[in-house]
Amino acid sequence: MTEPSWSAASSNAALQRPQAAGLADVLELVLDKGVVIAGDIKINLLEIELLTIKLRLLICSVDRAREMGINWWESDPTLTAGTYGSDGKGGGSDHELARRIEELERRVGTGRSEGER
Amino acid sequence: MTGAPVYAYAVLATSTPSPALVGVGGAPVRIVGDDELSVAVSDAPERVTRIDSDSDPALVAEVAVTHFEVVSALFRAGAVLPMRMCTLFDSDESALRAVRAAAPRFRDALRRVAGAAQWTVRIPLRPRRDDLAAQSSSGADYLRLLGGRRDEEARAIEEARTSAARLLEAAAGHAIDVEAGPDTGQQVSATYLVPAGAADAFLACVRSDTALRDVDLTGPFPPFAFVPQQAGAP
Repeated sequence: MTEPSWSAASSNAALQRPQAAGLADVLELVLDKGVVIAGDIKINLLEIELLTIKLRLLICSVDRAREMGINWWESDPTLTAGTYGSDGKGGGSDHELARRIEELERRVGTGRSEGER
Repeated sequence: MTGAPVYAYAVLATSTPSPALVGVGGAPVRIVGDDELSVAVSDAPERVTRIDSDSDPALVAEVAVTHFEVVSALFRAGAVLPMRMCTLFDSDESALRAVRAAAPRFRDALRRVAGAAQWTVRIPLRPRRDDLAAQSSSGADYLRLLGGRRDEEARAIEEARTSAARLLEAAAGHAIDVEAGPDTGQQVSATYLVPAGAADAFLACVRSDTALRDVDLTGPFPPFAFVPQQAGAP
């Protein structure tokens, strides 16, 4: 294939496994999409809307910052792993978050590496 | 298992269990219902049932990825209507009851998506930037080039927008349904529901416009964007 940005193969394409998608692709597919059944749902849909907004912002900001070569927080010990957060909520989650995002990206595949986006 | 909350992944038209599918929190996925209408569920771990707007985004991302993986695996085996992520029911029975309450609508929707897949085409509108500084002999020269480029870019974006719209519309000819994405000024996009039989023609069509650079195509995915948005008990 000559075009690096194609992520689909040519024949019988609809029958093949989905190509490896990055975390951002997966979230774009899943967030705000799907059948909504009113009634027995325990999680408030409004809460989910708020969460999806947060997730989108998180993914955008982390990706964008790295794209621009900004990663100072990764080497600053006061901003990583459990050294702040005296409020007991979300304390030190940045490093852990980055690790878990990487882990999730590994799970969904290698992502598209060609530098589009 | 009854009594424990369950997480629902998708509405299906099969009772055949998919082998060894792992759901949220590592719980096995099971299929409840019959060959006409069924729902894929797994026991929901407590931390998932407690998700709210203060939850750790990494947990929600983890649930989103698992949701995607399970729905994708079910999609490879047959028609699926993906549920909104984090859809929880009190029990298998209440999940099935809710799905059956909208049975005619779900059956129609399942027939519509059977054998079809979701594809997204994204087309960037911005032309590639040359390094003007390297081409300039002086500061004034640089500013002159910069001004010229601004006009040129605006023209190039308009041309790209026209070609992109033509391509997106041509591709729609191979699809059952289309959902246009927003024109962000940087990019235009559309998401298609394409039947398996038309997939090759669809792909050929998307690739046919050689004037557009970096057309990005992703798929085939389960029809997340092509399901009844509201269905079930009033």
